[in-house]
Parts: sequence; C-alpha cells; structure tokens
Amino acid sequence: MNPFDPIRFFELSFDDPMFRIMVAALLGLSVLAVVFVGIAVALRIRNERRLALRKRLDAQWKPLLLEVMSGERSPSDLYLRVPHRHRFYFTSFLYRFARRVRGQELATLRAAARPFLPEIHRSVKDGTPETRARRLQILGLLGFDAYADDVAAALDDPSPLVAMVAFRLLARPEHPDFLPLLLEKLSRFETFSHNLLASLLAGVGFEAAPLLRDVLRDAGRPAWVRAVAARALGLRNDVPSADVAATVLAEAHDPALLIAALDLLGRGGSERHRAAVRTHLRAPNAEVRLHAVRALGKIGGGEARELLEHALHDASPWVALAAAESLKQIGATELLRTMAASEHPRTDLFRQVLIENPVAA
Amino acid sequence: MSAFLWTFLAVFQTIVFVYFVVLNTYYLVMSIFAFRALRKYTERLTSIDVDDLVATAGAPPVTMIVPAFNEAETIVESTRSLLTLRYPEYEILIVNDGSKDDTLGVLREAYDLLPAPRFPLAHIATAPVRGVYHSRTHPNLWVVDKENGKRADAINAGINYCRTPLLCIVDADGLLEPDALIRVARPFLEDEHTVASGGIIRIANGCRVEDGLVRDVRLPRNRIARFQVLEYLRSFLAGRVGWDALKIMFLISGAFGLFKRSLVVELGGLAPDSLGEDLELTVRLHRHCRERKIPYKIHFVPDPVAWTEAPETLKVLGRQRDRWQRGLIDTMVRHIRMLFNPKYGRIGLVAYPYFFFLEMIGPIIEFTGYIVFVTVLALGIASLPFAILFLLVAVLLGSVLSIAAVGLEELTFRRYTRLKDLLRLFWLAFIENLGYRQILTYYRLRGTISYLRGLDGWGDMERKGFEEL
Repeated sequence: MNPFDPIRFFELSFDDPMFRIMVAALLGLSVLAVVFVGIAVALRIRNERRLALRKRLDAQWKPLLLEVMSGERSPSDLYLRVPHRHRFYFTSFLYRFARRVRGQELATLRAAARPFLPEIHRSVKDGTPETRARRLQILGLLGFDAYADDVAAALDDPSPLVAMVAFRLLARPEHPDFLPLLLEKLSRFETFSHNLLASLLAGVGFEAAPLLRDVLRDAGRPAWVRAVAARALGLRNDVPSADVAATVLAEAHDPALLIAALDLLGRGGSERHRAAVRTHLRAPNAEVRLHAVRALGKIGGGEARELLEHALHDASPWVALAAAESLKQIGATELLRTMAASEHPRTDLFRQVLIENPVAA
Repeated sequence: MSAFLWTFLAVFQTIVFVYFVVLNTYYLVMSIFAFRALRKYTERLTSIDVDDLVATAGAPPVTMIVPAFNEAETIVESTRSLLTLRYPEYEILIVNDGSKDDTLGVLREAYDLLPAPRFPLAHIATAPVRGVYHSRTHPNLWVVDKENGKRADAINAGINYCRTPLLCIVDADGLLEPDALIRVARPFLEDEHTVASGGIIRIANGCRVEDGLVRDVRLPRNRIARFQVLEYLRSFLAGRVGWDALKIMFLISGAFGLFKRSLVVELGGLAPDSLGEDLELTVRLHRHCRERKIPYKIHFVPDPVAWTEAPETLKVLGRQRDRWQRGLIDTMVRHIRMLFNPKYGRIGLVAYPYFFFLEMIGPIIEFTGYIVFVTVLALGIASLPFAILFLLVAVLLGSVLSIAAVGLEELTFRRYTRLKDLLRLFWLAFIENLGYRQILTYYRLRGTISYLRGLDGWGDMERKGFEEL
C-alpha cells in the first residue's frame, strides 16, 4: 500500500493485501488469545493437581519419616515405599527437613536419602544452571561425604549460581579441608558481595584462621582477596590476626583492604597496635578515617581519648559520629555531655550518641 | 474534501499504524523475554533459602525511608508491616512531610514516640525539619517531622538522616511482605556493582489485611482497581522483568526501591522539583555511572512484594496518571541528551527512545488517532470494514498481551488462587480495551497538557485504610 495515495488509503476492500493481512492478524490473534487462556487455565489445573498430590505425599511420608527418626523403622525401608516417579520429590521433601536439623537427626535423614542420591548424581551436570544448582544443593546437604568431589568440581561450573551453591556447601565448619580450594577459586567470585564471601569463609570456623592469615599477609594477592580474608578473620574475632593486620596497615594503600584491616585490629588488637591505627586517623579517605576511629575506640588506652576527641571535629560527620560512639565505648561520657551542652555545631550528634545504641554503618 | 486534508488524514493514519505496530511489537518482545526470564527465575527460587539469606552476615544494614503526607489512615498499619520484616539489621525512618491530618499524632500514640536528637549525616537541601522522634517501643523506628515539600523533598530529608549503606524507599500506603526486603537486597549480595534494585508492586484493594500483612489475596471489588491489577501485572511481570533481562532497567519504582546510599547522596538526592522523582533518579543513576564509566547494575526482582492501595475513582486515578505523565515528560526533557546517544549504551539507544516516543509522545498520537478514527468514520470517508477490522485487531492484540501477563503470573507466583479471579482477569484483559485504556490515554494527554501549561500540583490521593479495602 502506498500511504501517500490518499484516496486509495481510505478505500480498502477485501481484495487489498492490507485488508487480507488484517483479517489474517485478526484470526491469528483470536487463536493466540484462546491458546494463551487455555495454557493459563491448564497451568492452573496442573498446579492445583500437583499441589494436591504433594500435600497427599507429604501427609503419607511424614509419619514414615517420624518413625525413621524415632528409630522404629530402618531408613532404608523408605526406598521401597517411594514409587520411582516420586523419588526426586522425596529427596526434596527430605531436604526441607534436613535444612532445619542437626546432629543425629541430620545423620538419619542422610541415611534415608542415601539410596535416592545416585539418580540425582547422574544428572547433576545436566539441565539449566537453576536445575543443576538445586540438585547440587540436595547432594551437598544429604550426601556430602559421598559426593564431596562433585561439589568441589562444581566450583568450576560455568554458571556463577551453581559455583556459589558449591562455595556455600564447602564453606562449612564440618569440612575445613576445602578452605585452600575455596581460597584458590575465590577470584571467580569477585563480583559477589565481598561481605558475603567473608561471612561464608568465617563460617568455616577457627581452623580456617591460619590460612586466612596467610592470605592476608600475602602482598602478592589482589587487595580485594586480602580484604575478604581480613573481614572473615574479623568476623571470627581472631586475636592472633591483629599483628598481621598491623603489618598490612603499614604497607597497604587500597582503601577496602585498609578498612578491613582496621576492623580486624579493632576486634583483636591491643594498645601496642595503636600506632598502626593512628597514622590512618589522618587518611585522605573519610571511610578509612572512620574505621580507624572505630578501631581506636575498641583498642582504647590512655592516648585514645585525646585522639578521639580530636576526631569529633573531623570534616566528615561520619567520622565525628564514630568518634563520639567510640568515646562512649571507652567511658568518656562526661566529655560527650560537656560537648552536648556546648555551642558546638554537632551538639545533636553528641546527644544522639549519648542516648542510643547505633545501627552499624 | 481538499487534497491537503486527505493527505493529512492518510499520513496521520500511517503514523498511528506505525506507532501501533512498534508499540505492540515492543510489548510482545518484552513478554517473550519476560517469559524466559521468569521461567529461569522460578527455577532459581527453589535454590534460594530466605533463612540462609537472613542469617548471612553479609547482608548490609538498610534504612527504610517512608515519606508520609496525610497518611493517618494507613500509616500505623504500614509501619507495622515494616516492623515485621525479616532482615538482619534495619531502621525505619518515617518522614512526616507537613501532613495536614494527624499522621504524626497517630504515630506518636501507636509507637510511643518521644523527641530525640539525631544528627543529619548528609546535607541535601530540604524544607526545614521541625523535629525528630524515636519510638520507645521499637528502637529501630524513627520519625522525622518536617515542613511540607514535595515527596522527593521528604525522601531527601530521610536520606540526610540515613546512616546505613543501603536505603529503601517505600510508600507510606504500602505493605511490604516480611521477606520482601531480604529478597530485594539479594542483588546486592550477588553483585558488588549493584547500585539499585526494585521489587514488584501489587494492588491491595480487595485483599484481607491483618496486622500489617496481606492474609488473603483477592481481586478488588471495585472495577477501576481491578483494571489496575491487570495493568500492574503487565507492567511488572512483562515490562520490568523484560527490561531486567535486557539490562535496560529504566525505572525503580519509588513505592519500593533499594538504593546504595553513598551514590544517591553523591547525586544530591532526588530532584526536589520533579514529579517523577523515582524515574528521574533511576535515569540519573544510569547517566552518572555511564558518564563516569563506573561499573554498575540496576535490577528488578519479581518476588519481593509491596502491596499498595490503588485509586478507586476516576477522579483520583486521573490525578495520579496526570502526575505520572508530567513526571515522565520532565525526566525526558532533563535528560534529552541521552536520546539515541551511544555513549549511554543500550539505555540511550533502547530504553530512553522507548520512553520518549512510545510513553511520552504515545498518548498524543493515540488520542489524536481516536479522534481522527471517529472523524473519518463519521464523515464516511473510511472503508468501514477496514476500520472495524483495525479496531478488532487492536483490541485483540491488547487483550493477547494482557492475557500473556496473566499467564506469566500463573506460571510463576500464582497470587490469585481462586479460579474465579483468574477467569475475571481474562475477562478484564478483553474489556479494558473498550474504555479503560482510552480513559488512561486521555489522562496521560491531560498530563502532557498540564506539563506544557507549567502545572506542577501533586494531586491528593484519597485513602480508605487497609481494613476497608
């Protein structure tokens, strides 16, 4: 159709291709609408049926499982009672319980799951990343001992989702042996939240501390990896790391690493580390100064009060707030009261600190 | 009739036709991307354990900033919903923006508020703050009482008092589900470059609400609110999920959005003179990061839910849409240099042009199209069968896209558990094209005219309170 043939534009009849296209579109869309409605209704029916089936199966399996948990029935009995087509759902059912128990109860659930796991293991590398992640989670929780190598291998899965599931499964206090591997593979998780990584590594427990200290000490490693190690050590309140943190503070320049080292020193340092902190009270980066002030407040000691008082006048209100909180922490409340009653432009800040427990920033 | 008029009508009809094809192709493409993304996401949900997330020490502390203007009807309930959130560490900061009703009074009574000192840690210019209150019953609840400004001004006042790495902006008439905050914060755990993320907004009208929680999800009894259920499903499940999949997340809704505080402060907060402050902030985040080559991500997460009260009268709906349109135009004008500018990547080349041509100019084309359509029919100069065909195709295409959005809901979250509600949604998908859409087009056109006339009023939203919805 030529849109600039105005007369013809308004005189379309059935013979015109455009007219025919519109008729075809109308028919096509009608079919599509009916198909979409049909699919949605079918989905609704399928989902409701599935839900009802799952409720029925849960009701059937729950008493059996309780008998197994109480020792009245052997865990291997369950394998015979679960039809083949419901096996995957049964492992998901066990997984739901396993997430919420520990010790002997978890061991019993693992024993019940054992015969079902080879089937999941066969398909753990197949399907979408989401499916692989789900299968790996089940294998890792219900059959870690038998499938530890597969979980470890999943750290190299092309999908970050699967790799992170593997990381979570391996970063557990039950198996600190995997820590070197986790640290070796840490670089592939650089885009993940570094706080999250630190939290997971801290979950490995005290046995991880020597290795994490080595990582923190190693100037050859990327600064962010060392910062993650420092944060993990900090979360464990690892006192022996304080000396390493002090060394890092003397040589590092990366703000994230300095902040993590200062926090670590704040948790495990003593008065002899004050000098390492002190230099950073004048750091150009306000966030570094803030963490230096916090560390100083935790380390305390005679000179700390004077330094913190000075920090109350820092250009950054964040640093001043941290200084006031630290002064409160070391018991210098009288000084804060005096400041609060003064003409200082930050009197509200001092009064605020005097009456509340802060949310950490 | 003069040749000029014929040509004008023909050319105009062609423009309408092209607009129609481009708009619907866009919706169709978005729906396809959304379908793929949602399928993946629902699978992924099975490997996400909220308890794990809550227990993770890496979840950054959050301040919930709640701007409140004349919210006495809903503020106690919505605050209660915020107090039930499952999140390791968070503060609630309600900003009473010079309400003319008793918003501050009801809060003071319900949560035992007392005046308390609190020092602002940022200094974005706002209307004067009259006082800060702290709850004696809930240590993480604060109220900032200030003189009236616009919504953005109230949020900026909240940002000034925020002292956590993340800030979450929520509407005072919204109810967050207990897991909503940890779910919307997940992108911040999974990607260090995340600077903002948003959750889905659903309509609370018709639902049973108890103790700040939506207990039973139903379609609203009011027809105008019902149409909005469909509209929101289309907008969030098809639109935003599609944008997220294409990495062109152009709007984090101000009703429920999580932002990196330091970046928002660096940007000077929300634009106080903007009526579309949420859109403007999101666009400014894109612009700022791309101009400075800062790696960043903005995400939409489809499962964290904020329930909101939708307008139930045309008058209030009209005021809301009028304001949204003015906000959109204002943002487009402010950031016009992004249009087709390759410097801004797919934001400048895809997202911005979509908003500019289809959302901003669209209502003008569409509304004029309706007028021309009726005129040529009335004058008897159009082929009547063709006109009817075109109308039917337009209605059906709109219906198919809406039905697809309902299908996406059914495929994923299935909040409307009654079959009757599902069937009603299908019916609405058809009839919304026969009046409701045209009314919305009119309101948006009116918004365009209001913008051109320099009107900047906000327009009051009448609240019923969640118990009466």
